[in-house]
Amino acid sequence: MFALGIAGMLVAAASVRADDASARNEDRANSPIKSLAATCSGCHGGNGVGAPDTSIPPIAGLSPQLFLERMRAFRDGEGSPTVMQQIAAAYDAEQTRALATYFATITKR
Amino acid sequence: MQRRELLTHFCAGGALSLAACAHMPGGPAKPRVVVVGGGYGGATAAKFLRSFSGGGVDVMLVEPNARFVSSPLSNRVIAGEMSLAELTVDYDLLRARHGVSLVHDRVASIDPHGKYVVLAGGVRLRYDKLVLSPGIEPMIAPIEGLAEAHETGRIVFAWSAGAETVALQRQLAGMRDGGVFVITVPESPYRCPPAPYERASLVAAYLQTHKPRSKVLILDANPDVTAMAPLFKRAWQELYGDLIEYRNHYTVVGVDGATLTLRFDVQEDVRADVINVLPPVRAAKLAVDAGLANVNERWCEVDFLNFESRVAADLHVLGDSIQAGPKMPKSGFMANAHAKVAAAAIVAELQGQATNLEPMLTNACYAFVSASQAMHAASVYRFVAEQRRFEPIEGSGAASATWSEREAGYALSWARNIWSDMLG
Repeated sequence: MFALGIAGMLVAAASVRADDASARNEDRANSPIKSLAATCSGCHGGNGVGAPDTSIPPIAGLSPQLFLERMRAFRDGEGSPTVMQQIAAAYDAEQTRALATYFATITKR
Repeated sequence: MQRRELLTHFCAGGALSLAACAHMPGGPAKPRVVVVGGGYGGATAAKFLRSFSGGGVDVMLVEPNARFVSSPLSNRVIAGEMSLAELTVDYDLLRARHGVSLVHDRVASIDPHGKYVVLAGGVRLRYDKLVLSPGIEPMIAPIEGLAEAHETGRIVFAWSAGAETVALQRQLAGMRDGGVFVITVPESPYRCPPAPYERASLVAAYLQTHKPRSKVLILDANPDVTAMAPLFKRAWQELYGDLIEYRNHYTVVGVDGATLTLRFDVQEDVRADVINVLPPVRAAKLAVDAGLANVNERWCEVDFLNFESRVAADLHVLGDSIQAGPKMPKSGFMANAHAKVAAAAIVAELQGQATNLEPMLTNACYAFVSASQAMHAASVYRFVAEQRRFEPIEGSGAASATWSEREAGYALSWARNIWSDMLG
């Protein structure tokens, strides 16, 4: 009984710490990834979803693999990229991975 | 107590949405941010203040116009390629989807010490944080005769999309074949560096089709084309030949609206059939009157980490009215980017979070060289702590290799996407 009580308290304490961590970091409305992703939405549209029927592709809901592959291709100048060849050069590997993970979670409207 | 009085007063006036008034009785009051100006900077700030705070900050957007009208793309309206209606977007989603309170009024004055703004109707709006994205004001007085010529409508500026854009389109459509269309470019910095050259290109495209004996004369106060210079010059040569003439170092000092004549500091007078003067600009009068334009009484100096004014606490300035860094163009896209950095920093401060010390800005300026072809210059910027300013990230800043129909498609798509980013 006593042991169970202690275990219960530990679980409770752990969950509080987890909540604190998530409140501080990625789940927060004002997390760094939200600001980073906002540097994409000026061209790709609100949250990367975009207006219908535009020639700039939406990035919301892209698989992380495809997102990373496209960014690599832009950086390497493959195909005939225009603006993204320049833009892609500005993001380092860690930022690019974080963006790939983030936009994969956004549901297309 | 004072806050309650102001709110009561304002709610009684009926100008404020019920949602904002509903916070009055009971419940912990949320911090209130008033955003002045519903353009690229202000509308973006309002939306992102709400989203970055998870709805934890009350946001009021004060904008006199019922709907947003985009100045980017408005050169296409002058050339008859688009209508103003196609550049017009409702503010409704800011309210319905994001919970922004919209106040369609003009701000008459700001009291940065008392921390309130006064609306034209006399109502005071108290704020915890003020975001000003007031745009620009043309400096008319130094050019003799311009105030009168502008007043009568003989010479329009069309710096901001609206009635003057349509008026200029009509002047162009009414010009005789064989006439001269003059566009004057002010000394840099001014709003949207490629805009005068894009305008000249689109006017030339219109004339080439409809009035091929006519001419476009660009009279530039600068030593050279201020944006995408090699591309514009090559496009003019290849697409229009003698139809466009470019002259540098032409500073307008006077105009005669009756005879449509321009006077310069050095050169001979120039007579034309249509004159489009782009006068020098400075921060909007509202910002100047509030003492915020501390750089030559022209631009508002800000801390680039959060866009807070250097002369007023809890007052943040965005967009064309700031003293920008040397490589930061005054563009709608940049105002949108300023707004996101400012919104994140303001929310962090109001909610006791750490400020992002590595903010970034993106910018892409598309310019049409003909009705169906465009090109761009783009950059991504990072905050450099030592200089406390934004610098382009190496390798990210460049112009297109050439102009193309594909880029024209991107330009039109970009506009619809950034409108969804700020208003959708």
